[in-house]
Amino acid sequence: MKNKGSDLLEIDGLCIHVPHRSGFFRLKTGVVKPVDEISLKIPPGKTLGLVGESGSGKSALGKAIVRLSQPSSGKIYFEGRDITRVRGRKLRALRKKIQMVFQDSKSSLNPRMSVGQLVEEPLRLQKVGRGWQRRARVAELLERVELPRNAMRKFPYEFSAGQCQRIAIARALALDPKLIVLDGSVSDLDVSIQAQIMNLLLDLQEEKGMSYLFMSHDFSVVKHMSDMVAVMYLGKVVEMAPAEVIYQQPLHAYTKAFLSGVPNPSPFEQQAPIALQGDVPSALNPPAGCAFGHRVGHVRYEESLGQELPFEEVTPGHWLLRCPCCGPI
Amino acid sequence: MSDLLDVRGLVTSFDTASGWIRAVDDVSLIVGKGKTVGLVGESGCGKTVTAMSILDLLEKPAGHILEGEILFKGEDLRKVSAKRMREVRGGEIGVVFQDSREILNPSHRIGKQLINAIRLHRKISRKQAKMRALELLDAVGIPDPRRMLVSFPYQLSDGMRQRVMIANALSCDPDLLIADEPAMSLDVTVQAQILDLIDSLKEKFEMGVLLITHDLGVVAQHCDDVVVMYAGRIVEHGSTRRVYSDPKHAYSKGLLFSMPRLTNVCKHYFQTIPGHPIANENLVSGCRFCQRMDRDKSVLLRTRPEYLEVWGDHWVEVCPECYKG
Ligand SMILES: Nc1ncnc2c1ncn2[C@@H]1O[C@H](COP(=O)(O)OP(=O)(O)OP(=O)(O)O)[C@@H](O)[C@H]1O
Ligand SMILES: Nc1ncnc2c1ncn2[C@@H]1O[C@H](COP(=O)(O)OP(=O)(O)OP(=O)(O)O)[C@@H](O)[C@H]1O
Ligand SMILES: [Mg+2]
Ligand SMILES: [Mg+2]
Repeated sequence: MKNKGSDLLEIDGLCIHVPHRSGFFRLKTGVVKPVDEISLKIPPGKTLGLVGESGSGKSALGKAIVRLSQPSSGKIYFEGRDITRVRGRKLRALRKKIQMVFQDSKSSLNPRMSVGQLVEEPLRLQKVGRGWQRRARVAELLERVELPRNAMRKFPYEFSAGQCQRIAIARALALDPKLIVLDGSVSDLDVSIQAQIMNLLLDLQEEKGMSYLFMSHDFSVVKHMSDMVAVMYLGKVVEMAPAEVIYQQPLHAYTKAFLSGVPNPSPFEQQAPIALQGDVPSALNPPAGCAFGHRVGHVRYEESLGQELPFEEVTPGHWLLRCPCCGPI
Repeated sequence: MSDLLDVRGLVTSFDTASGWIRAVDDVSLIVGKGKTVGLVGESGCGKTVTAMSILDLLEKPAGHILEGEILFKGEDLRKVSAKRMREVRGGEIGVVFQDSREILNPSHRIGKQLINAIRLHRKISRKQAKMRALELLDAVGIPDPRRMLVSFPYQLSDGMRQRVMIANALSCDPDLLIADEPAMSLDVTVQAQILDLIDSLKEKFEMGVLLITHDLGVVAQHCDDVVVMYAGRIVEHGSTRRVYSDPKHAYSKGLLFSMPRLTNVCKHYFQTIPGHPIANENLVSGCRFCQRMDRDKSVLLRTRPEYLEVWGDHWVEVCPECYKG
């Protein structure tokens, strides 16, 4: 098998194209492209933040990485090995190393299982240790995520959203994974609870050296968590750079528009968000070429139509989807 | 001159399995004409209940207003007839709810719903109402209003649906707009547009706006005054600039410092508000932030702190532990 260098996770030209069928005969009327030609890397112990508006395809990408869905083309490498099509025993072994915390943890936790059972489940499925060893581990995990001791016998509905988030994190931690995919995990929480959970995640990373793929539509939260940030728009990564760089020198017009819309918490600085025209185009049959230029009304928008745009490294570590209208030439 | 909305000492209570809880406990706030007031606080602190009390939309029979006056243009809304209240709600007070999906009827076209809403409050013909609906949809920035009239709610994106909700709220030229998290489920780019829209409409129609949100960035950019609520009470209120530059109460400070900012350095610990929120039924009558901070028993047994005006119209609950002058 091909070895792909030192990155923990590497994604190469990943596509998830789903045929769209409609009408009585279920004829194929088009292709939905939740993820289109995405390439990313996550080094060990680092966090890649993935920001994008609702519907940009973050969750679809996350599910493909944890192998809950099958990509239609492209490759996923984990620890240098191609995992795009592993199954059976190998897939089960992989599940130990890659975990995901879902967007809506409250509804992703089985309501009929007690918290103890929920956190134990991954250990049980992987046949780790004996019953008493597993229970000891569960107690340790719950303590680590700062849940009360008696939580073990309670059920998810007895907990607040922030606490459910902690349960989901404890569950993801159970098998000591190398990579955790965190899907919008803090976006619906209150600032204070959000801050607690993020500190917990930072602590855990320091302690165990895991990598995170942290997805959110909140730019400021992503900045706080990440070493690298990738900006996603309509199934494509339009820009990727070290976190500091992307905030200071965004290159893509979409990144700039997105950043300009993040509410500035100082009442003394007037903010002028870049006005966008129209809505996000639908992921069904997106046009080839730039899918953003028309929203800023760029004059050179039409030049990009029909072209395949290259994703290039403009300066070391700073990647950009090159197009005639949305970035520097 | 009296203020547009003047809520005084509002107490709202719910009958729950674990006894009566005072979800809103002595809340007073003022919204002047042409002003936007931001009501902020953590989830469950009583923001929505405050709005629902003003609008007389509390879940009956569990929810009750126990005390207080709700003066809208000088008239106490607690004392008016049910008929008058219906006129006010959706007429003189426009409302945008937290979740717009539940408000629009999924099986009716947008046009029908808007026209009905307009005709509920105004005696005009269908045709006139339709003209009005088109005007409104145009005002909220919908590109093709005619097509919108014949669309069903599920055909709209979240941003568009929220615009329709705002059009609906504005249909009768309200004097006051109550917007509960109007842009929470929306993307930043859309959120910015919706909030700017509310700003411009506020200026155009000289409305007052009560904007409920937990995004302090939104408040900074769009509100003249801010009211900080904690566990059913107001701990601090004043002009946004004053409160943001010089928060006085420990809770407002915590809230402001713990928000993520784009200007912060990367990969950095957050400041958090210490302690954990206390369940509603266990709240003390003394300072509730002290209770969260697990301070001394003797501190908790004290009576409720008074308000102090630290500066022109900047008020703080002066608990000796949480407010250090
Ligand atoms: N298997 C699939 N079949 C068809 N369409 C899909 C599939 N998976 C995702 N989509 C579509 O792709 C788009 C991207 O969805 P996704 O849930 O990944 O967005 P997201 O970035 O996670 O958004 P949010 O921030 O709201 O969670 C959506 O329009 C969705 O309807
Ligand atoms: N119908 C009800 N019956 C009993 N308790 C209720 C009811 N509605 C609200 N409450 C309680 O009142 C308190 C305040 O709720 P409210 O919905 O006003 O919070 P909020 O500040 O709007 O929060 P959020 O930011 O999550 O919308 C909560 O503790 C809630 O449990
Ligand atoms: Mg998602
Ligand atoms: Mg609410």
